[in-house]
Amino acid sequence: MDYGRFLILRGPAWRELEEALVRLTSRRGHRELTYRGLEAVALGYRRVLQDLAFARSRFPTSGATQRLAGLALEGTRLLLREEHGQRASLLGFFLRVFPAAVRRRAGVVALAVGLFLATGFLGFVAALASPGLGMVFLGPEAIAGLEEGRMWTEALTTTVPPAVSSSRIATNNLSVSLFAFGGGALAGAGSLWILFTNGLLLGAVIGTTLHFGMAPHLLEFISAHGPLELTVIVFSAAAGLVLAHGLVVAEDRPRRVVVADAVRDALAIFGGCAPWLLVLAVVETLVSPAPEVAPALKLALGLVLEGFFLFLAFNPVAGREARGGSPA
Amino acid sequence: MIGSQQGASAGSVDAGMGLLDPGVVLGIDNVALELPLASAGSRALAGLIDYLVLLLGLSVALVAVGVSLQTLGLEVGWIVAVISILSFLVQWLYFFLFEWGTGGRTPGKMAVRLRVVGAQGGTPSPGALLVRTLLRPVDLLVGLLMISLDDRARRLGDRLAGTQVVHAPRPSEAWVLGRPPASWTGREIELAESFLRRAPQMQLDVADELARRFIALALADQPERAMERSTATDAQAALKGILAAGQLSNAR
Repeated sequence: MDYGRFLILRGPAWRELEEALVRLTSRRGHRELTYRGLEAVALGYRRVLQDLAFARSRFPTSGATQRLAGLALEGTRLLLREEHGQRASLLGFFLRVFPAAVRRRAGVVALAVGLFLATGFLGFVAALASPGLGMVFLGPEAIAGLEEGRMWTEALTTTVPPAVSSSRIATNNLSVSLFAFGGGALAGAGSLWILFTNGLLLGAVIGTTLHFGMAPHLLEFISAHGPLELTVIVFSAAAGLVLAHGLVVAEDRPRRVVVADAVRDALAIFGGCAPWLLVLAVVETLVSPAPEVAPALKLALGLVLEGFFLFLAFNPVAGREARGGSPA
Repeated sequence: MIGSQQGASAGSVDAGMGLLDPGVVLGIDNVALELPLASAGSRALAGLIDYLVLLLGLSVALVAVGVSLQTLGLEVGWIVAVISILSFLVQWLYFFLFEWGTGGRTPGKMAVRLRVVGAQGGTPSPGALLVRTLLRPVDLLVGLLMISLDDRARRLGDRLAGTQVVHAPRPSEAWVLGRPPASWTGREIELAESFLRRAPQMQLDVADELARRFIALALADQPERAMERSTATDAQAALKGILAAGQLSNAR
């Protein structure tokens, strides 16, 4: 077949596909697409790929080959959806996908919790043994306040409006969680850094306030948002460590497959945590700094939020499904 | 969508094993598709534009929100709190929402004509776009280096999300001869198409002279097409009429 005949014979089909793809790019075109229409587009796309193969072999540098290559790429982009992870409704995600990922990566989650608790204990013991350590974490002003029976947290809500300090704390916590997850891509260094520093800081702060007899005040301040916030940060770091596991640890499966599995689970774990960061932002903005909310109510709210999160994360029904999933 | 692919597919595995050139994936019936991968330079430029848009857009939006809330009588503390949270969310969601809503493009990518696609050249899932967004802060440290070292110019977020950034099709540049003379071989057709593509960059008198030579060649074979010449305003237009040349229309 010569070039001119090729264009005459096949050109109309290319134009037809071009027009169909243009329609597909608009929302209206998408909505109006019928099953028969979709089949016609798919057939046209397949024919274009065949024409491209023919044109490449017979007229490799011709305009028609360029035109077909562009058309094939555009068709591929619009007609092929590359899935990434499991598709599920929002409810399905929290009831099945999230807990299943937690179960599959239970070892990594346990490692993250263990590291956090260990460094927390270390900070606690060190602060009790050497009260001067609290100075390093809290600064001289906060320590001077503790000596006078004042919590430094009071300054957070008295020097600036409570809403301002709480929103700053909330966005800071969101950043910490995001870095705990994303830092996993640096071979886990970022996630480990977040676990170590947060564990050490929490332990040292509790130890220091205990030393000055102010621990109940601290616990009252963090009771509404603290338990879930720390859990979310630890789970986010665990998600980061799952990423690191996929990137670093050698397995007998191809790296590409291992990384794809790791990303799917890490994203599911982080996805199960992310919405709670928004809930926590609201709690930290409205409840934690509010003096009119009774301490018992703050504690109850904190425990309910924590309990609900842990129930979702360790949902036993999803756990049974997870055993059939891919290995961690 | 006529198809969906989960995880690593045949084409990307072949590419990963070095059986195909970087940027080449296998489509239906094993037809090779060459993805026009974006290089570090164009991606850095798109990123720069995006961060400028983000900075300017955010500043204007936050001032507008602040003034509106003040008009509504909200306390300064609450206004600062709202602005702080809003600013945080916009910074984190800018890239994800744009790439999700516009088929893999942000304002910066639109300006440089880039697009995020999946490993097979298809539409990436929202999950993949979320992963590459969440890893963006890490890529601000190592991304450019990774793009430079990777054979498919992927940053860390792209590697983990299974995505890549490609050049969007150029606006119609290539010309196709709709009616080449029967005696012309592929070589002559390609020469004519190549000439029509490059003619706008040539000096006018040189371009016209070359167009006249092509016309002479075409009319020597099919003199009945001389009619097309008489209605044209210049030599290049006459050549296009005689050869029924048209430009690509697949650019978006």
